[in-house]
Amino acid sequence: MTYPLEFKQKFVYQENERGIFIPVTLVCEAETTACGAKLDTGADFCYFAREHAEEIGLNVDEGTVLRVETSRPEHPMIFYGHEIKIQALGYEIETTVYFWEHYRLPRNLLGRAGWINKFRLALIEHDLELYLSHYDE
Amino acid sequence: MPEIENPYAQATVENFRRTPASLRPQLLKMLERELNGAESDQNDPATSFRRIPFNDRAEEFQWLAQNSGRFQGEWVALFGNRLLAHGVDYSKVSQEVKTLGIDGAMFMFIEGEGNEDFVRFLP
Repeated sequence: MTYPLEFKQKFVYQENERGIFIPVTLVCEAETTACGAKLDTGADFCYFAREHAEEIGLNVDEGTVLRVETSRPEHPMIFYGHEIKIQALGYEIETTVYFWEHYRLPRNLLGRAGWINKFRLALIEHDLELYLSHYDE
Repeated sequence: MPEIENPYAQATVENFRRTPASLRPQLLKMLERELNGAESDQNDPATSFRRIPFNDRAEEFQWLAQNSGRFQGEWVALFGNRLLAHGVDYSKVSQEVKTLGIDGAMFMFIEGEGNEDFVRFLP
C-alpha cells in the first residue's frame, strides 16, 4: 500500500547542524520584522526573542503568561503570548507567539501549537526538502 | 454503532462514561458547542490563512552557514549576502540598519555555546 501526498509549497533549506531554519516575518498591524526560526516538532508552542516583539511594537509583559520548565525546576522560563501574524514559506497566518521575558533568546522556534498544527508537512531531511500546504487548503 | 478508532475519541468516550450521570447532559451540551465552534472555524478558511509571495532568503541562510561562527552571541542583520550590522545590543544593530534605509533586513541572533537550560527546556 502507498500513501500519495500533494503539497502546494516546497522549501529547500540550508544544511545546518543546529536544525531546520525557516525564514519568518512577524507582523503586528503595520509593523514587521524579519528573522529566522527553527522548525521544532518537540516544541509545544512558538517561541521568539523579545527583541522581535519590541520591534513590532508589542508590550511583551502584557501578554498571557506561560511558564516553561527547564532542567532546573527552580528556574522556569517565562514567556508572554501575543496574537500576531506569522509569514513563512508563502503563507500568512494569525496565531499566538510566545516571547521570552528576557533578551537574547538563543533561538526562535516554530512549534506545534501555533504553526505546525496549521499545516500539513512532509520532511525529507536527506534532501533538505520541506513540503507543506495549509491544512485548510 | 462501531467505535471510532482514534485515541482522542476513545478517551473522550471513556471520560464520558466516568462522568457522573447528573453532569452528562451538561457535558453533552459543552461538546456540542465545541463542535459548532470548530465547524464555524472550518467554514471560514478565508480568515485562517493567506497566500503571500515567498522569499526563501537563500542568500542570508547561506551566509549564516558560512559565517555565523564568527558572530556567536551577537545579533546580525543581513540583506541578501550582505552583513549590514552586527553586535550584542539588538537596538544598536536595528538602529544602524534603519540609518542605512534598507527595508526587509533579516535579524538573527547567533547562539553561542553553553545554552544548556534552553537546550534542555521542556516545552
